[in-house]
Amino acid sequence: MDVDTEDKRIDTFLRKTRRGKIRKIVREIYLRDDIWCGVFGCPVCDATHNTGVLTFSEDESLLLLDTNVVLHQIDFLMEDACIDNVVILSTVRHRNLQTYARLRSLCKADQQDRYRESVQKIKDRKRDRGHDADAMQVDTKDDSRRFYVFCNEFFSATNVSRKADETVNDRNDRAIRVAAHWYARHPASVQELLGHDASTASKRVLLLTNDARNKARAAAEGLATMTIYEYVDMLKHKFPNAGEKLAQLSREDAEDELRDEDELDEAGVAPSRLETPKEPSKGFFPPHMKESQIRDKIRLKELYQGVLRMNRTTCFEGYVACKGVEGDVRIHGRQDLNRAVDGDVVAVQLIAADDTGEDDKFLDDTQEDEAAEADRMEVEPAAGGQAAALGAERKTGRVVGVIKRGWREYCGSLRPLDDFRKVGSSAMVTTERYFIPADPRIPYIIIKTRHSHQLDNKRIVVAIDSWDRFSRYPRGHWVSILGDTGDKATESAVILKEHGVITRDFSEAVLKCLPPADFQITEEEIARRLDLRNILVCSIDPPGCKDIDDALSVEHLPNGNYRIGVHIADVTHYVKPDTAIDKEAAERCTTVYLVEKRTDMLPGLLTTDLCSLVGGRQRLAFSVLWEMTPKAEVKKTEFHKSVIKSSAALAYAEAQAIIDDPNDKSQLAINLRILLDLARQIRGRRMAKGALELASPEVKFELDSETADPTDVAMYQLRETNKLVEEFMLFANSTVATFILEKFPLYSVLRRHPPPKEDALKALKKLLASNGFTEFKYGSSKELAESLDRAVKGDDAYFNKLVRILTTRCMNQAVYFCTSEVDRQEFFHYGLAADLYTHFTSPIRRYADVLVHRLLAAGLNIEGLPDQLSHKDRISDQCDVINVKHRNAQWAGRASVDLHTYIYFKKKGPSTADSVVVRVRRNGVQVSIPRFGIEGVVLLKEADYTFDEDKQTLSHKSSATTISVFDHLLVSIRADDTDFRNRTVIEMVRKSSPSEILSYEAAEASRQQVEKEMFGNAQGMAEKPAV
Amino acid sequence: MSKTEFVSPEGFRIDGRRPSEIRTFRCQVGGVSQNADGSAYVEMGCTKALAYVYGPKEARRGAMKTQCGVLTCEVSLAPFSTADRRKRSRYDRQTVELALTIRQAFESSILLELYQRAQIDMFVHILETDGGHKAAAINACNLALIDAGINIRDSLVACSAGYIDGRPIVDMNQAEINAGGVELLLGVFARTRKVSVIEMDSKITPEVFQETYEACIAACRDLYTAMETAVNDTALRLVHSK
Amino acid sequence: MEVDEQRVPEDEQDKDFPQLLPLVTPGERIGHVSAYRAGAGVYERRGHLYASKVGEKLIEQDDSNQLPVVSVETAGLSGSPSVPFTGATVLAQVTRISPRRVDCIILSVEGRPIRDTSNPYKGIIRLQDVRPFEIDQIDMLECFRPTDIVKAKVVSLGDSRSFHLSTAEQDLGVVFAKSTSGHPLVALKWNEMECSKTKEREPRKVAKPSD
Repeated sequence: MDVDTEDKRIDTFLRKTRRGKIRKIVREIYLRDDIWCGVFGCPVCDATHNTGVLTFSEDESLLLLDTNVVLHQIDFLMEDACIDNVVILSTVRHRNLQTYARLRSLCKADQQDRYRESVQKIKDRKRDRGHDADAMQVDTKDDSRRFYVFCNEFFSATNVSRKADETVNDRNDRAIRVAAHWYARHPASVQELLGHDASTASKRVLLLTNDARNKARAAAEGLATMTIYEYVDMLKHKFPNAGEKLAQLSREDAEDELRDEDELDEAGVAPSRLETPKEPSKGFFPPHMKESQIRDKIRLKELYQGVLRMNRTTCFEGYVACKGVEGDVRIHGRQDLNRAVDGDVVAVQLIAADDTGEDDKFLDDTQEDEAAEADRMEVEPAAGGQAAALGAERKTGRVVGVIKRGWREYCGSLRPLDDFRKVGSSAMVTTERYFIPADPRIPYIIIKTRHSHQLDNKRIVVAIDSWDRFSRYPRGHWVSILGDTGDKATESAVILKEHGVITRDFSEAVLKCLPPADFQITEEEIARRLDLRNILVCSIDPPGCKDIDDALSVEHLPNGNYRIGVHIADVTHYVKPDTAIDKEAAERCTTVYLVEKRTDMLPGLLTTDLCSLVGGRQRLAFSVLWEMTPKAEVKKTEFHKSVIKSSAALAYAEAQAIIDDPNDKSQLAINLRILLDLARQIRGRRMAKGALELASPEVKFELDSETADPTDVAMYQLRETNKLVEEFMLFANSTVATFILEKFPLYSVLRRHPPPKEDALKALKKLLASNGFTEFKYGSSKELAESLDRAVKGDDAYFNKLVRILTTRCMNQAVYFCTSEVDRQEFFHYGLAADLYTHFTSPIRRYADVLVHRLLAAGLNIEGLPDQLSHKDRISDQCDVINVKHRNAQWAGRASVDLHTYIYFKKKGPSTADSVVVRVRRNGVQVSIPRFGIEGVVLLKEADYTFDEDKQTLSHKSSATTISVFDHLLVSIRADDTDFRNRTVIEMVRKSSPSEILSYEAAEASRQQVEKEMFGNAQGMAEKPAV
Repeated sequence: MSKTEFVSPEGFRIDGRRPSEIRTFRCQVGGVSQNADGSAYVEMGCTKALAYVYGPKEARRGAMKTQCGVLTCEVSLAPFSTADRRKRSRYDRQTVELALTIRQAFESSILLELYQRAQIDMFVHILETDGGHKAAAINACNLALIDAGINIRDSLVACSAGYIDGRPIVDMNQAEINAGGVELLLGVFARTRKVSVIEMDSKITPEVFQETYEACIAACRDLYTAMETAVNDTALRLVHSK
Repeated sequence: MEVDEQRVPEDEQDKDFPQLLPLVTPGERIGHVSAYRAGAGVYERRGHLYASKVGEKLIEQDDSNQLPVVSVETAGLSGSPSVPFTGATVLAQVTRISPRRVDCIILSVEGRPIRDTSNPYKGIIRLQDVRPFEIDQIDMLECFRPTDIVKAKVVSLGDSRSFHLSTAEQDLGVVFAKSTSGHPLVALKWNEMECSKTKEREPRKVAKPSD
């Protein structure tokens, strides 16, 4: 038998299922002997299995980490040089697999080879370490630190079974201690080797724990043990920089985190911890409820659970969508939020309705100073009482506990020091600083640092460690520095980081998946494919485009029909399922386009070279071929893996010029004209079916445009050739969608666009009616499209555009989905009026397309269906990830545009311009400024105006001015960088006089001019993809 | 990354096995029942199965065949065998299907031509399941048939295998099955390695299949070694006690 | 799934599955047809002989010039249940008598009991199988009575319902019976028995008792 030992441990525990059933889980754990200690030179383990990476010696301790240390100090462990020679126990994985994986990534596969080579080098380095220690930067690439994963849970000698009266935590603590004992005893022969006696040997194994009880017990058992703080202190002389990233853990949290499961078992608690004042009155916040209490109360429906989402501009108000409560529960004010942060899963208690009409307000997003804040808090109850009288229905709640923290890493800057403190603080003294997150939904974070000055005016990344109820703000530690505040590249990095875009370099493993740079397509590969190299193929893209996904071809068939080909880069030939490169792409999901920067989904070699269908080079493609009559009716459809050689990579303008030149009788010109003609016909049919044409840039932008990426919007110049390419891509996508759905009815990845929200459209209709336009219909996309075409107001050229903008506000997002997860009726794509739609045409920059390519290949029996596409759950999970990443990418793109707007106004200084009101709220209006192509909120003093909810108007109380939607306002625009949040502030000057209203054309022209100034020669835009 | 990691970078599965290791295999040949003609008890990790064999005996009227014997099989899954307690009817699809699989498998194993007009009944009880109960059922039947002294061509050994995180793992436990990956059930004749049972629901590429298949065959071989030892031990003990 | 049997070369088989113990197990190769004849617990495939049971391998040379018989003597596992086969000696109990045949149920085969009595093997002794001579003179009621225990030989597997049994040999016939008064009968001669109590005589086809 393979199992070396018959020994196994059986773990049994009760687990509650999601439905509330109690299940008994029995799990067996096999205990084995073939687990090695990892100590270099160990005659037992290392000699036989060469696993040694650690050192067991007089002058260096072997570190063992307790679970709490790993859980709370991961950033510190990951980077701090004083953490070296570490045994990672598999016990610590029980609490958080993700953290464990991060920690484990420190042990490199080839670590020990390297170790052997560089034993000498390490010794040298150790000697030198004292000298270069004053370098500020903590060496993050310090790959000579030694880590070893010791699977103590599976090792017969360190196995620990849970005792009857023991909690899980206690068992784990004991397991860690047992492992420490084992290490202290195990390399007995090592000690002999080194000439130590056993008593000093045990001192060479050091257990780091922050849990007082575990520490006390370990000490009682004769183990050397320290808290992480003591350890850092001890090594101060050797590593002056040590501990910079230590998490600032509060006592209460440590207690909460570690003791949540054994409330009853207080016997062994060190008395010191009980000294923490417990009376709620002393703390700044009320204490959170116990986990068990929360669970019970949720069951009894006294509490509700949900994810806290803050309003976009503040960290003082948010909503929780709770199961079992209709509508969102509003949570307002610092006290009621009770330390919950955006993204946390919280337990909410409903409190008396407290509707101040606040959701009709634009919230001011500046975080008040402490004083101002105190004022506000005093005012609050009064406002609440008043609102209660109104008897509004909106539910209000209070957070009584956090079930799961949704903390991530946050970008931002440190609040500048007051002048007097600046003088007082010297270089190497630890200072507490306020960190202002770039995301206004996140409260300030207090960090401790000894490098206060180096961090000033930098964009840094900070992680929250804890937030006890005695502190007004959460505590955290900084993780990394992005760059100087205000620097364009740094700010872009902030945008990417805040939107969860993966910006790390492609790993070695990923690059290993790439073909060599001098890769040539083999003859065998060509033989396997349809050879289309001798047909005239061309691509049409924006100028300077390097990642050409698609190309087109036309052949004349003897029967008078055409064979139209859409050729898409065959990315899946290079990116095989479940390889490192594929996993990376699956995680990135999309190429992200910022104004001046592109973050690729795939490495450059593929993106711009091997996959890009450049002119004159043979390339692998996945082709869709139709036989079409001159009337654009499809006679036959085929799909082939092919090899093509593009004759010309044209820019839109070039293509347009060729078509328009009557003297050009070349084959290329003829083909382009045929394509154009066919495209017009297909487009005509699609429009007749009711596809929405929301042609204005903003609109396209909002609609998660199917054909263009968000950022090209600004420069989107509609030529016919754009439409030509777009049309064929849409057609190819639909064709593929139909095919894969037929082949894999349950496993296909499609894209759907649900119809817009009825309520919102109804409101819009009302609004339009009050503006004299009564024929707004939205029964179907066709009716809506027609209504939009008719919505013209003679004297205001901008009106139609606005209506379209307002319409898109009502639109839902288009999403990818797995066909087994959604009802067949809902597959429809509303915006394109297509029954079935997917994304097939841009595999270089969208992962969904990669999936669709694989589905298509499997459907054609070219390749098998990979594992990733043969499980509903996996497909559906992947679709969710793609959807989130896509949305984030769009938001990142938008944020990038905002950033450039800000930079533009900062350079230009305050300006005034005409604007149009698109939305009215109690305390302000949202305006669109045609001249600059931007939108923003104008805050008005609530006290000065009366708000009419029905008519959507604000009337000034003293003058006769009334502001309603579609009104023109003269506004001033300026850049504002309070709190390092780069915003463009818009303020009302007065209502515009008719003469100040720009004509549509003039506004357009100036907008384009502004865009050129704003985005300049931004390179990301130049490379923007076509379709 | 938040998902469970089924094979850690150190090469251990969630229960401490390596990918190619089977769970602890224990079995008892005979002696489980005094009433039956042959019986066996099999434990593969936490999966436990009992098999009883009755016969050969006079075949039932309707089922009798003159050219060869008749084999029947009935499987029952104990209500307490899975984590959630559920009484299954005798005609539960899952058990009926498994019974059919077992019957067909052993029709090719038993020298049925020796048992003309006779009937052999096999009853399998799954007492606990932690994944792989089909394999355990087949292995138990095989041992019970040996115990009953029924002539068989060769021992039929069954094992399951899956493919997770880019590598095959054998004899999966329930937690691994719940991951929803490939599950291949293979019943092979121990000596000829001729496949008698093969069952798999997922679509996988031929390469993945080949890898999984080979891992599974190797696991069957390990199981057989354990089984043969047990059979020999039991037989020897009885011979000596006589 | 068709897997070629030849995929595993015959020689390799034993390498993969070495014989661990002196017993043979099903599927184990124990000889070649050129050297042995197949006995009980042994089957032949492609010229080789394989065990089909667990047990000790026995080789017996009988008087004839034929090859020795190799068989597997079942080791003492629970089973070795028996099915009647042609030529087997069985014990059967008479259930019904008609002028042309006697119905009975089979109790044991070759000395091994049939455990499961719920659905017993049935046998019939036809008129012509009662004794080898004077067949036309036989009166069934003078040979058997219901509840008699008869030692018989299986002549053929018969029709779909019953095995055909025969008592047409000296040592076959009734071995145990009770008299009309309910006491055991003792054999007197080949066609007569005597009540152990009343000394009343009753006719039977009696099996010649062994010494």
